[in-house]
Amino acid sequence: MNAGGDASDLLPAARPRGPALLLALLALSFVAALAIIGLSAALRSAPAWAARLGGSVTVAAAGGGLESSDAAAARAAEILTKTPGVSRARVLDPAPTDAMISGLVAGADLPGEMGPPRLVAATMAAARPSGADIAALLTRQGLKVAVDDHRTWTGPLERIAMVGAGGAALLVLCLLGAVCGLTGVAASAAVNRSATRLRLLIHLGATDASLLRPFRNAFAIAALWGALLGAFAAAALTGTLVWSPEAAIWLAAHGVEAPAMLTPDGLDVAAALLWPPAATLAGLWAATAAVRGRLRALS
Amino acid sequence: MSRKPVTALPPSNSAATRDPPVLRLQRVLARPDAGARAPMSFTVAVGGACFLTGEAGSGKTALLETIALARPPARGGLELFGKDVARVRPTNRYAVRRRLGVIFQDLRLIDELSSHDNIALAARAAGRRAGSYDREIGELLAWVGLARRADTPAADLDEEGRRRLAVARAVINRPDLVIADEPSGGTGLAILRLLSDLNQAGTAMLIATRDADLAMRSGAEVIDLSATSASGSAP
Repeated sequence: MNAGGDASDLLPAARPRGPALLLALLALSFVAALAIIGLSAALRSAPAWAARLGGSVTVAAAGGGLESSDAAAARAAEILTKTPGVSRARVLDPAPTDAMISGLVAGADLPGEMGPPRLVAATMAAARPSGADIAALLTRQGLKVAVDDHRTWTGPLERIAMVGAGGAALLVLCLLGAVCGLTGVAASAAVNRSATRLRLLIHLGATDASLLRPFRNAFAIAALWGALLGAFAAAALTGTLVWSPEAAIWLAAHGVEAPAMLTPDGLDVAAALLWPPAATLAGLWAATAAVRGRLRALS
Repeated sequence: MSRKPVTALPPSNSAATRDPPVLRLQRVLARPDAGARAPMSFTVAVGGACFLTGEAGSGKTALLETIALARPPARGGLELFGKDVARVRPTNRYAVRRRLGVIFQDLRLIDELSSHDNIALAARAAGRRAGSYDREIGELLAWVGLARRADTPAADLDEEGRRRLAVARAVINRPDLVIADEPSGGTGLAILRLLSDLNQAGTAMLIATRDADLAMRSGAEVIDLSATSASGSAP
């Protein structure tokens, strides 16, 4: 150093050695950001899905006597339309139902006068009759029906969503802990590499804070870069899979078809950006604790 | 402990001795494995000088490291500049260390740094702004006879040059007490003359040496660690 020049090079090198830490943080951050996107999608979609399920009922109407299944379904839809608490009722396209049932009955002969049952979808209002009430009502009208009140599925669905969201949150916390561990270990190693000079600086009167600062900053920046790169990689991958038509075609060709409601939206993808500040703070805290401990041991 | 007439390291002026001593040891054992060795008690006054003598392994370096706050005493009380160091929080010890100038037995120079930068390191460690000490470093290098070696890496200096550099580094922050562990290292009296100059300027000295005769000739307080018990007071 020339007289009067910058003396920052007199201080020990307080940097991570090599790209290993950055790559490890990037990998952790990629997984964590995906988990956050999944967590956000689960928390957002579960209530919406439960609300939609809770507001609908499916009635399977079978023919009997002289009445065909088609006629029974039409009559059930008509009755339901006039029922208080039912907003709308319509007979579903028979083709998918036939396809589904033909698979289930595996070619068995059904009684010709009955035909396969037809499905009626009913959308319910807020003050709505129960599935049992609807079944009783239609039975009293001489119809052979089976009623599937979708409200019975909302509880399990919400529980599954909560378990999934809890698992994702736990994974994120574990990954945050891993960031702390990695950053702390790397910062300790950096201090150990400079131990001789640091010990000298301590004995020459350097404050803990002045020695801590370059290590803390370097490792917090490493955590920030790793987290940013990992989060952006996860957001880019998710965005590509969700919004790219080519990706949608490729996924469909491989039999991957997620329910639209579970598909992450822009807000879910944006939630991945919560990770970099969290990981940076975790790295900052871990580096500070690790370096402070090592400096105390050196002094 | 014994005293000889003043020669190389005269006692400091009497006015300074009215201040609290820069160093006070009260029944200090530097190492827990000191065995039968008796605890040390002595003081060094402001501007005073004191030699610690004793053969290798007598505990001179351990005692100096304790005084330099490099290790806690196994037993006893240590006061520096009127403060009980046991009561100084670890995070505040830097303030005490900045009033000490230490010449380590192994010098602890940074070989890859130049003479200038080795001294600058001490100034930076003491919190001084880069560049604010360059004139002082130039003066110190001239004083220790290394003016033309300012840009020479410490590794390229000869043994005496390295010891001169260690002296310059120890005093860049104008310490109140210089602690020197075998500062001459068998290179002659030049280093001791530098320390004598400092002492005459009012800086207190605590010097460890195996050369008991040299210590005796200095006229400063001499504490022999080979004895089973030692106590004294450097004026």
